[in-house]
Amino acid sequence: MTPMLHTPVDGVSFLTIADDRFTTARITVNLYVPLSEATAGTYAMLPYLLRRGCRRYAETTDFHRALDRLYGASIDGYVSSAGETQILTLSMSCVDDRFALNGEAIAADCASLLLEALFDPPLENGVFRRADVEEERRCTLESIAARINEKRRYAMGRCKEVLCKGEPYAVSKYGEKEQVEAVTPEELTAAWREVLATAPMRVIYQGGGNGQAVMDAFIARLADRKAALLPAVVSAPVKATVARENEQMDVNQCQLVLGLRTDVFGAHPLCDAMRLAVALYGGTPHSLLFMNVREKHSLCYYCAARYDRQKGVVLVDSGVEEASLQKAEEEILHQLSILQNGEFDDKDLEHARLSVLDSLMAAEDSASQTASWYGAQGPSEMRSPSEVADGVRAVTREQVIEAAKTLALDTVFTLTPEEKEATV
Amino acid sequence: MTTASYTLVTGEQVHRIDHPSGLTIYVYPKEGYRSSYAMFGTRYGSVDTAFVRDGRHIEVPEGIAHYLEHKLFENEDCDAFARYAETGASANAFTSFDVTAYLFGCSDNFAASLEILLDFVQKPYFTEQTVQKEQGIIGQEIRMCDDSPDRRVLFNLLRTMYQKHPVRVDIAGTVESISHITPELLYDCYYTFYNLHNMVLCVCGNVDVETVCEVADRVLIPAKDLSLDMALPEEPDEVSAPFVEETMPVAAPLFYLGCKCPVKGRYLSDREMAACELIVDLLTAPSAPLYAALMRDGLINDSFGGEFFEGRSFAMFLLGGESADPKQVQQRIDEELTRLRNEGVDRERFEELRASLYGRMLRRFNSVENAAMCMMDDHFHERAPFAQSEAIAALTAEDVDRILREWMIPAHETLSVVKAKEDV
Repeated sequence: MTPMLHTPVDGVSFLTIADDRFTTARITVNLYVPLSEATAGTYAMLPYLLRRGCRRYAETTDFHRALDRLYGASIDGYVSSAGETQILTLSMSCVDDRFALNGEAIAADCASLLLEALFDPPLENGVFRRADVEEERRCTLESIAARINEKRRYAMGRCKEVLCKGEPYAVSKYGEKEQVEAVTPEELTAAWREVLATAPMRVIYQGGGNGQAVMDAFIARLADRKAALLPAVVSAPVKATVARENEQMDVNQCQLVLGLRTDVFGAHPLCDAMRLAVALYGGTPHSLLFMNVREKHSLCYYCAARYDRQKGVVLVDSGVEEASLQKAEEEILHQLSILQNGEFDDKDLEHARLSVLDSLMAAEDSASQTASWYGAQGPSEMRSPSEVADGVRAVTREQVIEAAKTLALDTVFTLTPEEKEATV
Repeated sequence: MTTASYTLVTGEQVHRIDHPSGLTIYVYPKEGYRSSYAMFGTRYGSVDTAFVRDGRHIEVPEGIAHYLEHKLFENEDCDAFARYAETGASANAFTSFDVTAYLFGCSDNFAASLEILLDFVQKPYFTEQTVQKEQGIIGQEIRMCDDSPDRRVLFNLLRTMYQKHPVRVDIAGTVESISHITPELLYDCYYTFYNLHNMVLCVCGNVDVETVCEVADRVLIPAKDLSLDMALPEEPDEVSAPFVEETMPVAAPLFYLGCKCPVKGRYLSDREMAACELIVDLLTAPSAPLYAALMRDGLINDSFGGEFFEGRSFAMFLLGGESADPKQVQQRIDEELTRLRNEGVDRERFEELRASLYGRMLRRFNSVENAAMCMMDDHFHERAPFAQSEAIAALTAEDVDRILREWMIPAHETLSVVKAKEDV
């Protein structure tokens, strides 16, 4: 299952993962653009517009009926962000040809439908059709507004905004409401042409055979391309005093999110050590945070830490009673100091390592996880789960402590119940 | 060792072992996989609120099955997470309406992890003190659920759609109900439902029958075959009320339209299940004309979708998402249902959706986790493993027409809405 990497055209990395263990084949196209307030809203709409159909099947209903006939092939388009990069993804997954009941060439048909959706969408006078744009505009605005629905995710997003105010990292993957409201079909069409011509691109083929036919079809569409470079991620200094932001909402449970910064990110040699340090801190059901904040003090149901390797940010979050907010924060920071001072058992470190290695080794058994793994890495990076596992195996106790010592608290965000109005 | 083998549509084999201890075991080896997944489940969930034990009629507090699941992780000498930490497996558990399951995924040390799983689930240990400790943790889990609009809109629907069946009761119970849980009640539930004859072990991935049986032979304690009286109250076909609404902080109203299906006996047949899944697509898939029309009129966004949901003596269609006007969506769905009842499903459309269903069914074999889950589901629903593939092949448009005519009628519908205060 070793991926083969080709770079047949400027700025395009083509990854083929020959794998016949699955009943399905999958093609994923990722386009990478800088995450920026000026453009995020426009770019965000593109994958949703493109997944609607193609010139041959211009109406969504017809396009999807064609996919139904191809044994429920499924097209997906979505936007995500990794570090300070916005990733526009269009993917198709379908049943492998060996399961076709009437000898259809399912994978080849699906590959051409994906190519058509990406390169040959239904246009009117050379621009995206107004009705399509309006429908996707409404859906994107509704997605932006729906951020408040899931309180845990919302609180983490708000913490990121305060933590990295003014940096691209704080920009939402959907962009700003105002921009989505204002963007025109002409601007969207220009953005689409621009990303096809210049955005770094990673195409991932997973399935039987070697994917050569799919790669050839892409190359034919991508000749004469000049790829842009993505800006390097910059780390900002930690705030002199911890920023505290509170928001009130009609909720039962408080959300507590701590935003920590580190300069260990990107190509920093301690990244694998940090991955292990954060797992030991709050990445497993035997981590310091789980065993203490939850099990010992019964303060919460979840208390977890996650590390964004591309930006150098660690977020710790927990759902607690209002009366326990301070105690939970103190305990989270107390466990951080235990990590930083190396006051943890060797046994706990080895348990965290085993857990990280175990999940890395399982990643390649899932086609969608593998696609996200290589998709989130960015166009110029290529490190397999087993290479990362080798890195994690080599990390020493001292390196874990050294990495942990770079973590500094920057921001605390809390979401709390509204104060009750006094009754007259 | 193997009692029966089933050849799957993929050509792979699933082996069933009726173990002398009383436990039924399914083993599904997957060639070329590094990881494995094991699920140890009992036919016991939140709907089992009253039962007979040693001639005594026992009624238990709401949420006790879920509470028991939490507490079982703690044995007398050690907690199960600490034991799994030694193997690197990623462990978890869940409680549904009619099943409680303990599980782990791993890429190494499978036999050692399986031993932990089978061992700790057979060793209950509840004391006043350990039961007390969990109140804070589960209390926060309940608060988290109270703040989740997706969950509220579903549980409100169930409470309103069902008149007697305990699927109308929240799985986690309430902060009040769980305060009545005692070690004695937990032991009563445990010794009634955690009998190996009432349980199943499903294993999938990098595994073989010999390894599984070796561990099972060594660790399983033979159980006396008790016949369980798990009768649930007779549920009328009609809903309790047609509408329910709650206010919470959400961006736009969320809704679920439920359509209750009469279940004669404990479970639906394979054919009925397949027909119901097809009907969900008929109404909610992006290839459905209704979907395109609702989108065009601004009544739904891409959160719209549906599923068929069934368990012990209950079954229902769930159609939902976000909408500015849920009542209007219901009216449009009802109009489409009226048309379908009168005209029957279009035969060409039926074949397209059947092909799509076949493709979706094939995806279930890819993930070791999904495959283990499917086997457990099929076992508890008294079906052969992956029985759906044959049901899809045998399905006819007449099966679909009958369900549309007999089950999908207004008297079986409830609409549940969660909306923001401002929308009042």
